[in-house]
Amino acid sequence: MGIAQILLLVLGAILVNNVIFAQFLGICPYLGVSKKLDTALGMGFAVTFVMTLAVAVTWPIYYFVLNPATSFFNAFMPPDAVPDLTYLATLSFILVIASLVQLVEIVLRKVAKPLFDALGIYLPLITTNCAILGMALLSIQKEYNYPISLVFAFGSALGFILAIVIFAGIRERVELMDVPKAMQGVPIALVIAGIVAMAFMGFAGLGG
Amino acid sequence: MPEQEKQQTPAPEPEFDFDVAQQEIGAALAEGGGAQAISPTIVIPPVVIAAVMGLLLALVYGVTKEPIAESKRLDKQQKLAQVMPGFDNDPLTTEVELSDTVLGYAGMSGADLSGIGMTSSVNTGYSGYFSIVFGITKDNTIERVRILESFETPGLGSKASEPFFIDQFEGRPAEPNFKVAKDNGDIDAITGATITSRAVCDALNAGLEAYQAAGGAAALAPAAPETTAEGKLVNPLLEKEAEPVTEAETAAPAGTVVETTDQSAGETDAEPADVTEDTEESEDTAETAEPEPPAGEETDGQ
Amino acid sequence: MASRSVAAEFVKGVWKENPVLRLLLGMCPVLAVTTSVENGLGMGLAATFVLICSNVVVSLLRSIIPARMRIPCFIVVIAAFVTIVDLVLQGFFFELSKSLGVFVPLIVVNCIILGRAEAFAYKNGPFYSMIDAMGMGVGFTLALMTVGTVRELLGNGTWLGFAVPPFTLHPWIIMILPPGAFITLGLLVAGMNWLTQQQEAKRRQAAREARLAKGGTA
Repeated sequence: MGIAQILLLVLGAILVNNVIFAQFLGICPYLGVSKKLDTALGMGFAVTFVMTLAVAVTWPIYYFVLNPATSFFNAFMPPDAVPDLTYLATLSFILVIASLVQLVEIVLRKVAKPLFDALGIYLPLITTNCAILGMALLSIQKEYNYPISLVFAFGSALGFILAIVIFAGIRERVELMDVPKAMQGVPIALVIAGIVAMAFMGFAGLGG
Repeated sequence: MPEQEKQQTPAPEPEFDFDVAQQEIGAALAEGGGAQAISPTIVIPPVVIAAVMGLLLALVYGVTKEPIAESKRLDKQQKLAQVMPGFDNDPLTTEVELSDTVLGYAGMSGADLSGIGMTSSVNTGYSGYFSIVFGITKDNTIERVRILESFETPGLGSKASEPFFIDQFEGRPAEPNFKVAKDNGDIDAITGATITSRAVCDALNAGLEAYQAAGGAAALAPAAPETTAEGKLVNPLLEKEAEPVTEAETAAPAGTVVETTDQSAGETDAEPADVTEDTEESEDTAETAEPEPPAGEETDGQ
Repeated sequence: MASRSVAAEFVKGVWKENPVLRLLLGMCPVLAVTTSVENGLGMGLAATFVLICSNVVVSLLRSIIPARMRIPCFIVVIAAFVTIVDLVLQGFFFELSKSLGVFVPLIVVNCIILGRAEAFAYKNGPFYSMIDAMGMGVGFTLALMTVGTVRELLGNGTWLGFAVPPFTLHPWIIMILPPGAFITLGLLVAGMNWLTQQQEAKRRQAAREARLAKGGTA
């Protein structure tokens, strides 16, 4: 895959197949922590970090342990006896992601205190962020190879940052508006998301 | 029993606030993960639970394995039936791997080859894995194209299934030269989904290239896949040799096809020395002058 | 007495604490798979099954699950049941499993399920946990179907695949595209809020009148 195609992949992941606006992954943190611009940014960076790391870890697990065609069992077993463990993907991925988040938290606290101070409070929320598990599963489903999976995860995470930052910016202004009482909070946030999603649909023909 | 339970029940949780819930789960996760020393007793229950759940899963997997394979098979069979010209065999039994991304299937009507079905996939790099299924008739035109699997933008991507786009391919000669109008081709792309349109063309071209490289329809006929591994080397040559003949004959009424093909194949067997040279020649002619009914080619081949 | 409480537990999930429209949990599938009522129903039932099974199992095991390790335990239980649902859907409802796609395995991270395990099942007995799960599951399914109904009717002119005459004339494609999902859900949540506020106002009004009447007599 050439540079141009990789760029296209990243652009596509950010704009066309945006995690939030086109794939509906990670809506909870999107609505939950988008009230202020700086928390939104913090969450965005934490997601980027964990998402890339999660795909970096789950991809090898799938291809070297679970998938019978390529698993390490092939080294010391006849091909017929190699177990097909692909059905354990969901279970193993979520456990890996949960422990990964813990590990990242511990390591960051020890090694990079400033980074931990910036991202720390968002990390625990990330385990239940479906965008992380979603990306891990999607890069397997889409049959991307390892480097492309990483690029895809990173690009999608950038798309998440873009979405959450745009949204936080709008929401800060909406706070000052006279919104009908029943529409305040999440309803108006969802309607705004709908309008932004409409704008993002304009990117659908991008690159073509 | 319900009485006893009731006493623990009165679920005194207040309003279930989203932020609070997230934070609670987060806090629980943080405390549960254990930066602290983990005593073995605390690890045993989770491990036991995981083991029991794993066993349960393995059990369910064992039970559902067959139905899953079966429904995937049925799905593919249905898709193939949509695109292949009339056949009465099970094309899945004739599956041939033509390349990493292309599979070929033969449709038989009685003992005659009625058409070819193929699946082809591309990795667009844009929205990933994308696969189509298409059929080729005996006289080397495209019968129909359908989308098999796509992870394109929901809604927009499925536009690729719209008749105005996908039906353009019907009846075209099975040559790997499909391009959208933007790339100076003659396929009208879907508005706002050029990449998807291009992916369909790419997948189709990749499939047709593999199809031609294998030697066209005859190479996929069940006789070929049923030959053993060492036959794989010999067979394409034989079939390529036979190809112009088949093509010539497909223009004629169907009944005669099998006879002549067999005959020419037998003859090639008899003179193995000439085969390689002839193959190259006939391949060339096949590529350049394929659509014409080549009466002369038959004599050429012999 | 007991039965009334059972009914209350059940209704709580359907209306007063509807997981989607009130608690605003598990929004991802609600937005993603509701292009049709059928998908919404399928997703709802799948999640309900997982919810009931995981709630009951967590409740049964609550005495042996150490508090500090409870979330990993919940996740294992939930993930196992999600995989079971995934396998069964693939085996017996292939089309549905294809249209729900990655959102079937993603039931694992649905906040509703982990939330109920944590907030209810870990503290209550299996019977009530089951009732709670059923209520929440039905509430979730109904919310999915409501969003699905709006989107399928307006966007496609059909309901559960059957053409509904006035809507077939000018389907608004935008409703089955992503923006339609956000806007539909936003307006539905607003509608729920409005209803609550109306009721609240009415109750306050009644209370004030009662107080006034009391004051008047005194």
